[in-house]
Amino acid sequence: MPGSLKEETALLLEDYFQHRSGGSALPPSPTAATLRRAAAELERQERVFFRSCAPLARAEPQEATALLERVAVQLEADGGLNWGRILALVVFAGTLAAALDERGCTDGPRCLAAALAAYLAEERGEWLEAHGGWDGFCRFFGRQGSETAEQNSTISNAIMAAAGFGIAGLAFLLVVR
Amino acid sequence: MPGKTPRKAAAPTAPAEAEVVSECALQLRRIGDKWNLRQKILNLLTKLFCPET
Repeated sequence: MPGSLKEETALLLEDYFQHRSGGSALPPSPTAATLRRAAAELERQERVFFRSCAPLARAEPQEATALLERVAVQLEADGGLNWGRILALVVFAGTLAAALDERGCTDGPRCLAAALAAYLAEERGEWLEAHGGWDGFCRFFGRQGSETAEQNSTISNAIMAAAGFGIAGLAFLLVVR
Repeated sequence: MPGKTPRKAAAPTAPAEAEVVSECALQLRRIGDKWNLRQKILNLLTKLFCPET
């Protein structure tokens, strides 16, 4: 149902924007927790770009909303959507929302969440539904893949170390024979 | 000519804004695609090496 997808999307985005602006409330759902975690990781890795985007949020939320909508349309113009692009767009919207909030426009985050939710659930609802909705997002960025950067790095390092030992062992056996 | 000044000043604003939008979209696409690929590889590695999770 598009209505419920839009509602769920708006709630998730509002929660993330509040969290991004310093809100300390616990995540209302596992999906919200996954979105917070994946978005924080992406924002941390691409901090320079997202910081440079903050001044784009003008005093009026309508301007930021219009900018977000235009960026969203262009984002998918080449190659369509994927979960990575959606996450990047959410972090971009979060940057604008936090900048508006800092400037005293407390209504800004809600307006941006509503606009992005409408875009994702109504205009790109088919894509979202076809990819499992926000449950699909959770599976993609879920526990196996979207732990914190440190945990990901630990898993990757362990795998690389095991592969390295294996190759070294094989080389040793070949040399000894 | 006071009437001409605002038009001249306003003209570059739209292309400049379009450029900002275009640049933002390009960067977000690049970041998103990189993140998507990274996550796919991580998910694949996790499936291969930790199939129980």
